[in-house]
Amino acid sequence: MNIVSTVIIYIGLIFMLIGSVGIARLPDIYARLQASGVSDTVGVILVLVGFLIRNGFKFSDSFLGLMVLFFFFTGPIVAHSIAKSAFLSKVEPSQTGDKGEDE
Amino acid sequence: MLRISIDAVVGLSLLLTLFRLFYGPSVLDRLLGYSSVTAKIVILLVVEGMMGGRTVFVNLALIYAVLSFLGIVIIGRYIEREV
Repeated sequence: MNIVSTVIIYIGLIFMLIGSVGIARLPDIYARLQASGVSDTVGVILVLVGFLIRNGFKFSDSFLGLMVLFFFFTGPIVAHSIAKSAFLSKVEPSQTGDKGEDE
Repeated sequence: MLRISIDAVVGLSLLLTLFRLFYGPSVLDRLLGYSSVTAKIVILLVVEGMMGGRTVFVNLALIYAVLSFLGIVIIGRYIEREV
């Protein structure tokens, strides 16, 4: 049980680290949204599920299950909200492609 | 050992997203960086609550997640056509 929870926590941490590199490096707001929206949701959910398994599903850890449900619904909502805001304010996608940063 | 490695990896990714929060070219980039920084801080609070012996931090993490979600959605709706 302990090994399973440790492996799940490390998979979540790898998701989060790769997503953060994508947020720092990608050239555009839409590309950064793709990196952020996937990695934050899955990373946080995997780490919380790892802690749930590690403590053995006690009733006193029900806040962790509540937070798993909360992040499962609100992570995509946040990414969609920022993407809709960028689209409605007419932010152009970057056409240059392989530059690390704008400007 | 597990706690040190979790704190190190989450701290490294926190630095990478704080870069986007401080130097983002537009307001939406800063909003994206803010949403990512709050997810990392929620992880740090849960680690402190689970492995540091102070379980009140788990409740604080839930309240912090709810407040950051409301703030991001409301700010994103507010700056919709003004960037």
